[in-house]
Amino acid sequence: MNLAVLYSGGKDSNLALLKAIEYGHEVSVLLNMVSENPHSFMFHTPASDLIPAQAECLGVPLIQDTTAGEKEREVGDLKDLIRQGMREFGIDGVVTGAVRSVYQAERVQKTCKDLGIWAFNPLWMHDEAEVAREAAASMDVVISGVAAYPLTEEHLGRRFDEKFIAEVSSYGISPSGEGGEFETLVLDSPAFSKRIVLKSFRKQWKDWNGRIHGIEYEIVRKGVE
Amino acid sequence: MVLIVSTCSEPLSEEEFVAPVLRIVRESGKAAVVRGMDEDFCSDVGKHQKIVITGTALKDFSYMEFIDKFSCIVESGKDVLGICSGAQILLTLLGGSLRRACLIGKKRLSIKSPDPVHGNEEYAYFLLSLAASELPPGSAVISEAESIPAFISSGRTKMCFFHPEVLNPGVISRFLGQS
Repeated sequence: MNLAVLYSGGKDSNLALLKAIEYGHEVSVLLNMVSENPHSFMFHTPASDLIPAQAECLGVPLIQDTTAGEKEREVGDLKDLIRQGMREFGIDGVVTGAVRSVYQAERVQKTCKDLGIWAFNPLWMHDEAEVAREAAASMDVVISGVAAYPLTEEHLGRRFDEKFIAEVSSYGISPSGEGGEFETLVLDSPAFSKRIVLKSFRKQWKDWNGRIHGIEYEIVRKGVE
Repeated sequence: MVLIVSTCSEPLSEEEFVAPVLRIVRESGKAAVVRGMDEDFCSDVGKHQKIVITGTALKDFSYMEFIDKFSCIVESGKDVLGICSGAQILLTLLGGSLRRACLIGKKRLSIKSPDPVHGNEEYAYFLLSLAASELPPGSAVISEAESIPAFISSGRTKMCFFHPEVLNPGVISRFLGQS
């Protein structure tokens, strides 16, 4: 099938993209919605500035739009975004990285049904620790946002790896950050033909909430230093 | 051993509709074998006491072409749990009928009759586009959501029109545990 990925740039949407390719589907477009509401129920993209770079590394076109992030109205904005993917790329369905959020899954399913296309959620209800470990083992991922005690600004920019997974698990935090405790940014994946190298970034930190911003980076051909 | 029969025509959908069921079965301490609806699952029926027929994507109706093939399961007298499209297949084979409906998302269940597999589940996650219209003879509605039958029991056959792997893993584990 010709599919779009609802792409956040994080580990889950990238892992879902890998699964879609692994099962023989073509990913012809990435759809990304940037929410102006940091507390959006639907969209979490703390490092949305890098998504065009990730699309370049994947070699897949990107449609990026913004939403005010008002509850329920943002679902209409999502429908418009998917409709644009259907119109411009003739997609048969969308792939999401949903793991546990019934709120998000329900709205994506309704939207796809309304539009008459397939919805694929290849990580849905999988074991969160397994999803986290698979992401860490297969991709180069860093922490782009944190929003849960006792995670601190020291965790921002850190590699999402077995050590991080063990640490957050010891705090009782979902190892896949399903509750929004942390957000991730994928710098390299088996689906990338180029990779992202972070040169520098700044940290924004307040009230146990933080994110990286002002990111300076390079796009490097794999195998070329 | 538990036989799980997939109704997904797209293998990618099995990550969403079969893998979570398989995980719950394994966490219940049971071994399982998974077969596709296009495979010869009938030859496996005799080897398993419990059979689960999984659901599939809202856009997927390929299972309609395979309904008759599932007769071997209904005729086996084994404990069978049909999930969503699996429930639709069982209901049709047992003499019931379906109608178009749309029930998507988390819904409150209204319990109509006690059932040891259903238990006291209060909420369930639905991805339903076909609902029971006429019930099979001798069956009973155990619960409803928005006046749509959510769980129907017919002897050893349980027809679960919601997706228990999302919010109600206990339905699957109780089904596996009942003797």
